Amino acid sequence: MSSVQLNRAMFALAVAGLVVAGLLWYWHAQNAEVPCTTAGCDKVAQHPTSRLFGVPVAAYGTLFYLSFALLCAVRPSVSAEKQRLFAHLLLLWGSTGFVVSAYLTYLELFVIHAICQWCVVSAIIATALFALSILAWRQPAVLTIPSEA
Amino acid sequence: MKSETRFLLIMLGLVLVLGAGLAALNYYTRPPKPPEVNPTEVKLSDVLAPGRPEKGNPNARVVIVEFSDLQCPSCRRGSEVVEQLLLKYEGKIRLVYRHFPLDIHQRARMYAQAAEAAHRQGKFWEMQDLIFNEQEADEKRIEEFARSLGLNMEQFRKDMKSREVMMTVAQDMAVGQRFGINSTPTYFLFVGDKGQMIRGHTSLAQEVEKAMEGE
Repeated sequence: MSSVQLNRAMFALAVAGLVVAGLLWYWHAQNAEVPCTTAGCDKVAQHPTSRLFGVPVAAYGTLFYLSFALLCAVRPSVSAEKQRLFAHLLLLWGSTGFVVSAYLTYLELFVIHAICQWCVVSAIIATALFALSILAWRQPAVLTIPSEA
Repeated sequence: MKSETRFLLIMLGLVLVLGAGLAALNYYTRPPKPPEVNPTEVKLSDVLAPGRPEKGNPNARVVIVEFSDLQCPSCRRGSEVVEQLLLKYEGKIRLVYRHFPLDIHQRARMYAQAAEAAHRQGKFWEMQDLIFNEQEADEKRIEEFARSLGLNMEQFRKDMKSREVMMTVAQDMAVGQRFGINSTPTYFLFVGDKGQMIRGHTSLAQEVEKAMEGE
């Protein structure tokens, strides 16, 4: 995978995560019933751990995915030196997302005892972002845009 | 800014605008929430209205106000429970009926109007029993019921489609909605002016027995 494709893949995943987290945040804010096929979504959404410092966890998730997508979007335009920094930032962000997702999945399984399909989707996306951010970090720093090379 | 960044930012912007638009659409088209009324603070006068069908002792301190749907199987079973309670505590209970035909029951509103039209000729409970016995009855069958009860058919047909009868049913429903009723049967059980809402008929007998202990 070329560095540009890899960057686009991360961007697309981050946007998908943004949609999932944004929906969860919206439902949480509206106190709406969460559409669910795993029967555990409302239990998870109503659990005290679904808020941190009074803010829904989904809101943090939304900001996480949004910032990840923005990093990917801005990355091709920064100078060669800064691209290395962006790769580090993406890896840092990717690993943070992975660790937080793993912790939230642990909460679902062993504390709340309910599984929410949306959280599972988000955890899969966060894991994939983490894997791709490792790949991006290992690649040559400078993104070569074919049309502008 | 390079074209790649511009492309990705436009994509992100599209997703955000679309998401915000859908959220706004969803927010502004959501059904209005029924005003929150604490069911423990229901007053008898809030759920009574003159001229509703009623049974039992009109001066009893224990009053059951029933919101029911004549096409709902659970309401049929509920009416049997209420019937037994009226027998068991004869002279100590007053029962008042109010319509709450649910949209999911295609004929519930027609049944409500038929029962209300029968009520105008003093045969509400008889019509209720006939409908409950045959919850698939169509309009022709309802007319047979009315005939078997010896109702004035011309008047019955006229009443059933009349504005007054439809308004009565609608007013009953509006009262129910005000108290957040969303299923049938729902009962309000009063001892004096102190009332509680009971959803479904399963705990009704138990609650009435509890209320009777204090009487």
